[in-house]
Amino acid sequence: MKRSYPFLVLAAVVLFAAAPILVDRAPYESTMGLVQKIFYYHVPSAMVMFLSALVCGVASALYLFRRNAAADRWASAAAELTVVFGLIVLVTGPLWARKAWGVWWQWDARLTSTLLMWMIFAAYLLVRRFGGPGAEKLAAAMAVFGMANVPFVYVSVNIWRTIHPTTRVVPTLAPGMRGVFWFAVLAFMVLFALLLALRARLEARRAEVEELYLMVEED
Amino acid sequence: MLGVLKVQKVPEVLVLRVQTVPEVLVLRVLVLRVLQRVLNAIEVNAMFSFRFEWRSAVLPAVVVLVLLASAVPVAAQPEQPSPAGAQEEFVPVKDLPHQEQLPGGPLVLAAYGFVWAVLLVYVWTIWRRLGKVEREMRALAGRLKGQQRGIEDRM
Repeated sequence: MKRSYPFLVLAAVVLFAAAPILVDRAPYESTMGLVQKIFYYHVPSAMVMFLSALVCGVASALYLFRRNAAADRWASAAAELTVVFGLIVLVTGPLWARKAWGVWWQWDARLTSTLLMWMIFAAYLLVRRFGGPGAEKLAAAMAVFGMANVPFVYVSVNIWRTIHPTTRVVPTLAPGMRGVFWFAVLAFMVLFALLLALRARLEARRAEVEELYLMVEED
Repeated sequence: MLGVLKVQKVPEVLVLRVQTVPEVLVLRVLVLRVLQRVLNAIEVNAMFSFRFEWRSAVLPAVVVLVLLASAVPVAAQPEQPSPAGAQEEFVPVKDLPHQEQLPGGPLVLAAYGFVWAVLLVYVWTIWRRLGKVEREMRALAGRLKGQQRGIEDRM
């Protein structure tokens, strides 16, 4: 894992440095104009948020049913990333909406369900931080519920009447926008892999420190 | 429905005409039938006392209540503005005065800046926490070595 760090750091830096140039050169959307370019950060962040929530939910289920301590560490790392990328989604979305819809926020199905999902993972982190002994199991159960929320958030725009665009936008992107969009998605995915590995390493180090404390007290 | 049943034997053209009776008329006929059933449920006997048939009266009463309840939200609906009026009031964004137009540039820059700021702050917090844990590990490893050396010296 350690050997892949320099490669991941280099890839993330190159991709993130190149992304603004490509986004700048991407064609303008006819009705929204310049503000539509928030799309290249907003949607990949949402994709990473969903992926991170799925990783957290699966790892939490492994911890709950198999008592796998490593899975719990990965779940904790992924929950933090869900909150970080969720925050990006919840801030960049209203910045786009203010121009496109004329309002910062609308309590429609997609926006509200995304906020609820973000709050579940924020609660996961709070439970782990302040829940005391046994909080890991309670947090893991919350993460499974958080993961179950992902499909609902995704299809909410197709099922309920909402002001948010549907899931048909990405498959029907104009050719000039498609390449830039998937480049931005790749950049965010590489960054997610790097941050997840770093954060999981931090959790592993913390576990080692706890073991060392126990050894010092025993001696 | 009731009107259609009454004229079933007349030519189809007439049946079609009856089907186009306004809904209000159909509703009135229905309400009258329901009232008739309620009155039939009350049996007046020779001693001027009456017996009420609850079973046969409950269903019509429920129907009346449901009809009344459904009529309330319809009556409470505000009057819709005419499409022609809405068309006249619509002003495209490009035709608005300059001071009323919202520029997209600052919003795009704010979004891009926020993404970078959040990610940089997050990487910095991981780096700081990792540094703290590794310092703690080194200190604990040193203490453990010292304890082991002390045990060896005593032996």
